Amino acid sequence: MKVLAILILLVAAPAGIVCQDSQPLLIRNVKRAPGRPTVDILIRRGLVEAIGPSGTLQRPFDAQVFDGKGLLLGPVFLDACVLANLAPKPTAPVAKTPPRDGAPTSPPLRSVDDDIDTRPAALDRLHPDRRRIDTQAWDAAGDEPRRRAGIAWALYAPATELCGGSGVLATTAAVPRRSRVLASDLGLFFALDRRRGRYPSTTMGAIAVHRQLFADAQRQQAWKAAHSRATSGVPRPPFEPGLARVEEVLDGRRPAFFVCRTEHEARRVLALFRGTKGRLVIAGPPRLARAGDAFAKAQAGVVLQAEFPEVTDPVLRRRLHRPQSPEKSSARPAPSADSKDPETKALEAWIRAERRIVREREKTTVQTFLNAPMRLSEAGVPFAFATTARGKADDLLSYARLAVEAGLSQPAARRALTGADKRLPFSRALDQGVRPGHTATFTLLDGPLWSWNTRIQAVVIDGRLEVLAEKPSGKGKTKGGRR
Amino acid sequence: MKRIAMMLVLVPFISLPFAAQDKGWGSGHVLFRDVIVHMGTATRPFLGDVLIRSGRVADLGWVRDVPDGTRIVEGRGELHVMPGIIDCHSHIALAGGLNESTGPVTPEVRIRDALRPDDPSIYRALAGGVTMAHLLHGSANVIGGQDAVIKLRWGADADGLVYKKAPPGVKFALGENPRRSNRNTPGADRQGYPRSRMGVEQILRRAFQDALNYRDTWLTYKREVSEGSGRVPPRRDLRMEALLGILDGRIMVHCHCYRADEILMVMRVAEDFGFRVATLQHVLEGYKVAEDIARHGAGASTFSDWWGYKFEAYDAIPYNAELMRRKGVVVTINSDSADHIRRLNIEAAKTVKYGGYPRNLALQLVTLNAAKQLHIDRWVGSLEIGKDGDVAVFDGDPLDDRSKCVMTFIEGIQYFDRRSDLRKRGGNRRGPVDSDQEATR
Repeated sequence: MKVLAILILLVAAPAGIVCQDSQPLLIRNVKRAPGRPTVDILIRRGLVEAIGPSGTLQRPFDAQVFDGKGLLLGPVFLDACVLANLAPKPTAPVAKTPPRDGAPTSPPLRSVDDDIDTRPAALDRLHPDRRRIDTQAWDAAGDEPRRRAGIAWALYAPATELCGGSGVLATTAAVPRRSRVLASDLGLFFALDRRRGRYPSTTMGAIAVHRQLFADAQRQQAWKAAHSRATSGVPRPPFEPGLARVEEVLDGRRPAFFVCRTEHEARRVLALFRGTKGRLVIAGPPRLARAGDAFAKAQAGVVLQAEFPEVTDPVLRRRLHRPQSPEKSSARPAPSADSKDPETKALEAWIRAERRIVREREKTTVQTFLNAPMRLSEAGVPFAFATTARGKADDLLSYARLAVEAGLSQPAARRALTGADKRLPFSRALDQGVRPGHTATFTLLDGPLWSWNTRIQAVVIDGRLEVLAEKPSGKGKTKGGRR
Repeated sequence: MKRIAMMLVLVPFISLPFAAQDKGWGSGHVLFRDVIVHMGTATRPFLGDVLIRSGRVADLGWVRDVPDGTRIVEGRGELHVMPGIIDCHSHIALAGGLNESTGPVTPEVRIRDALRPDDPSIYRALAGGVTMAHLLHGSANVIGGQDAVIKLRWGADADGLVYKKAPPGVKFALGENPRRSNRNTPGADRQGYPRSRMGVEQILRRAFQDALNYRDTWLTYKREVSEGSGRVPPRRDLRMEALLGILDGRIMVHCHCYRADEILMVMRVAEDFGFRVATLQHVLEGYKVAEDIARHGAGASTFSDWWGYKFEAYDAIPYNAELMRRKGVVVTINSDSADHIRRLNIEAAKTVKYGGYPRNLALQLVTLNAAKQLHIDRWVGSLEIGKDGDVAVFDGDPLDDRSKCVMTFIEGIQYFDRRSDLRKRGGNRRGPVDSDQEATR
């Protein structure tokens, strides 16, 4: 009996972690959409147990109650590429024998072959066998700001190395890591990583490394096939987990994520995968969207990093970064005392002309940034949004709102924000919508999602409520927005 | 009223070429009427017509039957039509670095993996009458990467630029560049190999010996398979495969070199391993060993008057091209520069004025000879019936430094028009914006 009790305890312990809080949660008086009647939502063990009109659900005796009067149910968002650098720092070569006191340090022994074949230098940046879930690094410090920005799911990707390994899709909930995992070994992350002085140092070199990697994987596959067919004579191939993953990528069994910086890189990557069955997702800044037609043709998905362009023009800056406060820099400086000097005048005219040119270029950059989601949408490319290392978590929603303003349809923007497009490889692991029997993961908003005034008041991730802001006090609230 | 109506009818036809200038305009059917035709062969220039149908030269001389839908460019005896200029050594339209300089042997990298089709240099080259360019890897390593021959189809994507009929090539480099490039490499704990011209030769020999060993491995495997044993294929090595391509004659060798001794060295190494150097690039001391170059069968791609920028480039003379030609070497003048590529016709003219090159053959230096060196002279390089309709139109003799290129056509499609270009630029004299600046910002 005692043993049985211990066994029950052992089995129940992990279940308790998976379900997080066992205390039920009752959210009262929230609206599914503006103008619709309010509902109550009962959440137990991370799942939505029941939804009913306000006042109809019986409150369990131990339930935590949250009054959501005036709040709307909103979606949670997916940060589709959280990059973290896991690369080991290059270490200085170690001399084999310690130098005697005062003796000059001799360089390590190297053969001429090391100078001729520098390709092994690339191996430090080629880790198809590595899994992000095996590291502590995906438990990123930025999860709290993400939750506050309504981001409940994140795809934690390995570093932008030639091949950094596989990513992990997890929630951003403040619970132990193992309880957060939605998909543990998702995709294989590649990049055209080039570094000065080390092979490969060019884009074409990086592509050559990938071509060689693919050739190695194909050989491994052929070897395995020959071994399984032959009764004797073919030795067993060595266990190469990394190559096995690359094989899966080439067969389309595992998606490949390629982090690109420019449109040219993206196009070269599409060319690299031509002739394979690879399911490709390109991750990079909005300017990649210029290759929208090529993505559509290759049936590739895109993760758009919300990389807000740096602009000097105050008008453009206000357009990008809401809400605006009157900026002092926009005020014109008073003319200086010697402005009548013809040389100064000429100089000022030249500066004005240069500023005009800069403004025109910035305008183009901003336009490319704003139109990127719409371009992809019009081309029929599935896409999602991601934050950048330098940006903020709320860039995600801001970018989607800007894209909607620029002409992207609201459903398309919502799909991109929530990673709901079924053509994207991570969409199946995400439990979308608020329905009985499904995971309780949603936000509570104080207004429509696409309004700049709307704030996220609370976020529920796997049934765990986190209240983020003061409840709305009706009219006269402050204008919302980013930065 | 009649005049207005006529203008209304004409305006769309006049503006059409300019409206779609950015991606090339036309159906590939063009007639150049009453123009002075430079065929790019030894034939003297003549007054006549050139008809291009479906992108190919269909007729020359006096063309009587003009098919429907053919655009007519009236020359009035003033415009000069010549084959599109081919630059035999260029580094334009590349992104992400042109020198995989981290090792002395890198033939596995390919220029066509790094093409940048929106490089403004393409458009600038078109403005100089250039229609094709041979894009080479940098010269920092002894055996560099694979090249790409492109047609300057401004507006096309990277794959649209590549001229697929051209056989692939690999860049070799001798002398100071591969020796110097090992110095001060960040992260390197000491200077690499090679450090001397002797070392360069040994790198070449060692690389090809490795390639022969690699071939033996595969031959052994194939023999074992045919005998029913050993069914595990050897590892495919893309580097060795490229080197084997050279040994098998499938991949051409374009060798950056200056000094006579190393020119002889590289030809000797090639002969030892049973292949031929396709072209010697720069080859400023080629005149000293012109007979040997001719005997080996290599072409020579040099400069008209550009030297003295490093020690190995001192002993150069303007008669280099002519002296090599006299010995039977196929000679070209190249740009190796995004700036010089805009006036290669002038570079050819300088070879006439200062180097004694025959005037009637001068244009071949940048057209037919370049096509011969790249093994594409069956399709491009001269205005002959059946060849591609790649045409540069000048407002005067192309060998006159006052002449300007006014139109450039590739396979009958117009990619440059001087008048519309000037009109479009208006107050902005800067030309197209470099999009890479935006990309790197």
